[in-house]
Amino acid sequence: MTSRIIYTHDYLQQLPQAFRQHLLKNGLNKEYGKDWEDILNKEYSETWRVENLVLSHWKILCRYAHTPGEALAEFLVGLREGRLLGTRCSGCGRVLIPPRLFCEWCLREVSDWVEHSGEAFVSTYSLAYIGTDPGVRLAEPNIVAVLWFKDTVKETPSSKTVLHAAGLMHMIRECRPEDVRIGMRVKPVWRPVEQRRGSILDISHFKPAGE
Amino acid sequence: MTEVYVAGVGEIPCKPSYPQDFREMLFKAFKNCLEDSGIDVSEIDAVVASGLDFFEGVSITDSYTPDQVGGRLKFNTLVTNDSLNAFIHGYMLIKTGWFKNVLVTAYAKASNILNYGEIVLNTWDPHLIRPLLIHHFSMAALDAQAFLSRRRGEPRDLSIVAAKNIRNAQRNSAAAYGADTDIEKIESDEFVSEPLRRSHVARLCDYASVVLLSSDNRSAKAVVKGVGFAHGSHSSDLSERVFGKFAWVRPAVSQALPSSSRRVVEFVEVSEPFASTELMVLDELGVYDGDVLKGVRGGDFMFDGALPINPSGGCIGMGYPLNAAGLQRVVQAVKLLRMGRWRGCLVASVDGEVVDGGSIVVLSAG
Repeated sequence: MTSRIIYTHDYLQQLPQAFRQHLLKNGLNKEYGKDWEDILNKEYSETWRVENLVLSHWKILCRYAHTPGEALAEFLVGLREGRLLGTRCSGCGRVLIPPRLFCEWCLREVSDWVEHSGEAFVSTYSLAYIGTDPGVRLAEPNIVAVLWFKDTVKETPSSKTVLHAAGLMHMIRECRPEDVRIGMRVKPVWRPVEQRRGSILDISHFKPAGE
Repeated sequence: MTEVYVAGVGEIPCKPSYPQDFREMLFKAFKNCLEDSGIDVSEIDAVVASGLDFFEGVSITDSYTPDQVGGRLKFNTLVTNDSLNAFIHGYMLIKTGWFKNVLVTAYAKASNILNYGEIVLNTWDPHLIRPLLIHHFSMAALDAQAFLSRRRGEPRDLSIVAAKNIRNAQRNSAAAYGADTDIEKIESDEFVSEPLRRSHVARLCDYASVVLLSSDNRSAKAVVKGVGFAHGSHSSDLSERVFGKFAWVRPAVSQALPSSSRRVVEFVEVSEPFASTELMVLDELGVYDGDVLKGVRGGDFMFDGALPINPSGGCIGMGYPLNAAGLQRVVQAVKLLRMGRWRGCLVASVDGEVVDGGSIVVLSAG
């Protein structure tokens, strides 16, 4: 009994060229059996010897299919419909956006759904001159921000320390970088219905709501 | 009650890259530790390794640790966390009474990671945060901005921290990035994500270190006086995160050190992937009498100040060795204690660049 493994396109792309060509030429790119392992080892050793490699580059493909869970699935469906959904704990009264079906404060299940207007204010922000690659500088900074939704903040009565706030991290646009500040009121800008797909990016960005 | 001593430390200096692989790097650090401790390899009972497979690019990376550190056919365990947490696990093993000598190991081969930003991106919630493609420097900047806003600080305070650490690193032969810089030079750096400038971010490095913990005080270089660990609010979508404040610090320091004993802390070594991290940890530690930002501006945290912070140069001056940062700080703390200038110190390390969680260890001279 031999194990059979299907090569994916991505997997083939990261193999040394000579090895990849060999697989394709011999029709072995779709599957291989145990007998093939000897050939595979030989090909690798030859590659190392021929090219005299000091470093071996190997790209790890990180691919997952994440289950969003019941609460977040509902949230994402809501986004597709242009609705911002959350849950409210009947114990402590907190509004949870993004929603959860449990409250870790009260350790009870949460089943009350609420819909929020999306009106929020800037809790913290940064003018980001980098994207995913810090070596590439953006011509104009992205305004990255944490937005707390209106009427969801819980503070200690005395010190006004924030204990909880329902909020999202997102981008602020339609705003000059020098104008953004903590406490600024913002509102969501939704993508057109036909472009929504149940993603956080169904909210295109947030923009100033005016004082 | 069993006391726990640091019997020896070993490291190889931080460098942007090493031609050796991680096994070779660890072996050198191990040999240095063994020589420092004077203990024979046969006396080592267990190995606690710190490692994160995503950083190593190797699954079950702990399986590849024992051979080069004398751990073959012995008790081995991996802590997939910052290495100060691995240190605490080693401490606890000795406290059980079952182990006498426990080796704690950590290394970083950051130069082998070709897409570090993308690797860290996998930390975040795939539905809410990752699609935004925000670099973790910007995540840290959100913390920094919130901290400075809350504490009425200035971005320049971050430059004071960075300049201090880069200058301190000049004294440390294990540091990769020490230089004779000043605040104005740092202030002229470009922003990577406001308020963080390029020099406010610790550069990655290759590094390895090994620490031998023992219940035997024969070759004690330092005494472990207390340990603590805590997490703040944790959710990968950051919805529960209070930016600008490290909730983990106070409970962790309370575990490690009674508030009445905080005067034993004569200097602090704290892993600071960002200059703001150092200030945020210090702000919650409760070991400095006064306003932390005034202390920064007044020079109290300089090498010769009232409470030196990162006299070794920290991660900004030495290089940031990923999850090895905590053990890197322990090794520097022990080296500094052995200078004879200070009698006690506190070591703190965050669980990752932008994680609201971390470990604290209190050491005194052996």
